[in-house]
Amino acid sequence: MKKTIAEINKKIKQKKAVILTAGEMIDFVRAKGVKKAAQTVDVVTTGTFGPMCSSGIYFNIPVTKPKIKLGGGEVTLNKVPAYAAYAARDVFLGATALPRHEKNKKRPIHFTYGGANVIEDFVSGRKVLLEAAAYGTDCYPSTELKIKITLNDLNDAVFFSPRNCYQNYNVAVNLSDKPIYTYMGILKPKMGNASYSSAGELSPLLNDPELKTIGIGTKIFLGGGTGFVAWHGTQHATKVKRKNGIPKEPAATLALIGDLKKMSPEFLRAASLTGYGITLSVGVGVPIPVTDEKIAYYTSRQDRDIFAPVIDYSHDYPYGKKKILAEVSYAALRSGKIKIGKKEVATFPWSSYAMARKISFILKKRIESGRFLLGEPVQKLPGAL
Amino acid sequence: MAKRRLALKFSPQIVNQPIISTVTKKYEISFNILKASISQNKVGVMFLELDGTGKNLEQAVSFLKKSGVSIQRLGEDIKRNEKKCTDCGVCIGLCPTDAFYFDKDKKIVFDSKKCIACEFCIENCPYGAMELKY
Repeated sequence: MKKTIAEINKKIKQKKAVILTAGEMIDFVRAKGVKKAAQTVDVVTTGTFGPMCSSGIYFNIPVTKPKIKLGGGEVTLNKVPAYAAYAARDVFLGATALPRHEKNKKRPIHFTYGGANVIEDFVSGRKVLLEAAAYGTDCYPSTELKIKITLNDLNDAVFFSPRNCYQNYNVAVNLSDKPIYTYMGILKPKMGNASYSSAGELSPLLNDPELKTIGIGTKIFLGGGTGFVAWHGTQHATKVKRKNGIPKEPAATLALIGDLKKMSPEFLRAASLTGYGITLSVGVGVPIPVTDEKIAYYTSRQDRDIFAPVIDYSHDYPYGKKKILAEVSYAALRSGKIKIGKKEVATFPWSSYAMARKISFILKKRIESGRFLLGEPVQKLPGAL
Repeated sequence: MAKRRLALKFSPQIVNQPIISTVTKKYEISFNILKASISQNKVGVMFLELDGTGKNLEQAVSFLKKSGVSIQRLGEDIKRNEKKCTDCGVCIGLCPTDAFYFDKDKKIVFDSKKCIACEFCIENCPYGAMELKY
């Protein structure tokens, strides 16, 4: 028996829909089986929270007098460089932007303030200093601007992530004989530790590995507010190695968009990665409509069913070698120790499982309230099976 | 009055000098020995809780440093800021003494008894959730 998203939405409005988190779905299927789950459960909510470097915001500043054309000029926010190559009042700020003085520090650099911090300041309601230099035109005569702005002052403020929700990811180790500072953390020499970054069984795209339900227009939990899948993410890949249908390497990605003004600093958090840079941790939750038994099956897969490749980040990753040292399950990774060859290696995560679970429960509550209806994708993602 | 818990290391050259008694008299500081391992002509280690006015404590610490004692704060001064912590678990990979672990709900627990106050977590927690407070 198949269900349509329209049928599920009708049940949500009537508050009759059965909604489980991805964690709860595992227990349900274990007790009642896939068939029963497909009949009973309408929606499974997922969650993830971790560093998503490919994140940013764009906004439109209020009119200043005399007018200034930021486009083609230079703009900083709390001294962090922003991108001003749109129209007169539109500005884009990426999470990893850094002021020059941060980059000139002694190495390994302990980064203190960048684009993600500005984003966090905005969503926390704090004032941000905007400084701009422009060349001045007949219709926009000003050549300088220095104003303090808050999120409320902005006409529009939109969160946009060109790549988010990576479906599976590498496990990072260091085979060299000195510590290295990477986006996967500080890795001890000679495989002294291993880091991983996926919500595993709670992760949005790992619960819909064939992209059967998630598409352009899917409505999601984003940064505490509501957002949408805008497009497939950059580096989106679907022709990947799989085990029981689930990718064994980094695969599909999503481009996400949402109203920054409705987001919260709890789910948009600046993070400083020693020796690497500033990034933004983003909370995302995607509801998966349980339209058939296959979806019921995938949403009940556990950490022990999902595998990730172990990659050396001292040489192989930086030089683009795709050598897989081992394949390990998320259950093994979460146990705190994995085996690579004969060596036992201690693991640590980047993605917060506790936050991912919290998001899956918040999204469940929102849908249960009858006010959060599922978005019907207007187009499938590339490579959707 | 303020308290400070410190780990002191005495090199063999100074281990025979009455440094602690000088400090306590000079700066009116009372002390409680938490742990000590001192023997002649060897490196000595002492874990102390010092009790005195803030100003005197500061002067006492700088006197100890001038006398050649190397000083580290003990774990009790290292605090986890629950509001900043996202329970990610990066600290588990940073800590040399396994002072961090996940509880059954996958939330981070900081066991200050295991902490040796190396401050590596303070410098490298991505969210700045580990803080020094005394």
